[in-house]
Amino acid sequence: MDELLLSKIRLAAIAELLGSEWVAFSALVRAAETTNGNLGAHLAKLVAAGYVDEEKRFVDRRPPTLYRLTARGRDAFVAHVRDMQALLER
Amino acid sequence: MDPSEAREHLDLVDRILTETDRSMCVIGDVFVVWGVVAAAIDVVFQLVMTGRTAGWWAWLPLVLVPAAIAYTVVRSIQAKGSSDRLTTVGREYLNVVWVVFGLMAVAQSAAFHLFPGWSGAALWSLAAAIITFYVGMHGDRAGMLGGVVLLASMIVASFVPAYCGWILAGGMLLGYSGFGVAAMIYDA
Repeated sequence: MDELLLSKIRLAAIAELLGSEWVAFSALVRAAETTNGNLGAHLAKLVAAGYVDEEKRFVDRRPPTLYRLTARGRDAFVAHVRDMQALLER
Repeated sequence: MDPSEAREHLDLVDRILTETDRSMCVIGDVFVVWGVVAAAIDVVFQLVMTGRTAGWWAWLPLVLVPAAIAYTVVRSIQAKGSSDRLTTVGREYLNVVWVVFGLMAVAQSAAFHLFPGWSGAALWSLAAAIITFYVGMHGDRAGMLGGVVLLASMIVASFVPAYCGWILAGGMLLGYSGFGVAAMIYDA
């Protein structure tokens, strides 16, 4: 099992990023059903592990932070889901 | 992790994957503008070719097409700024739009000897049909209907060459602009 993905919030964030090129922080907060500060801390760990890329853009003088899933993060997510399914089948 | 926790995590993933927005973010008014522009060009060429208006009107595309491109660029930037995600299917849709219209533009401007007369206009109807069918194949019935209308307009125009411009223009207005209006209503 991937230790990083044992957290429900990090797993939810990765799952939300799975079908998108990029997702804004605000959309990830809604999907993970958590607070800005909490999600920010979890995303920082995913970024540090190379699972997620972070990008800041300026739109209407506001800097929305965008996140995208890396190939490494996608592989880790798939492997993690496979491990959980194997655990259930045992 | 115990099996009950694993089940809980898998259910969470399943729920998120089911609920995640996978839409293409079609900008309805851009379809309306391009449908109207294409129809106006078809009508003008019909009038010029039948001698019912002055030949200099044939230069109209040089004004309308750049204006439509500028509008598309501005609206795309606005949509990107106001959106909170770009879905994978949305990215694929944008790629399809650029490839289809890019190829049609090259075919019409660089290979115009291969596509004389009304075939240039028909190329744009074909491009529009490909785009609307692509949207339709991703579950949008208005897109599918738009594609059918555009395709039908080409077939009918082929058998009624005297009214080619009018028929292709009608197809563009109904099939392409009409789809745009449907997308705008859906968004609202």
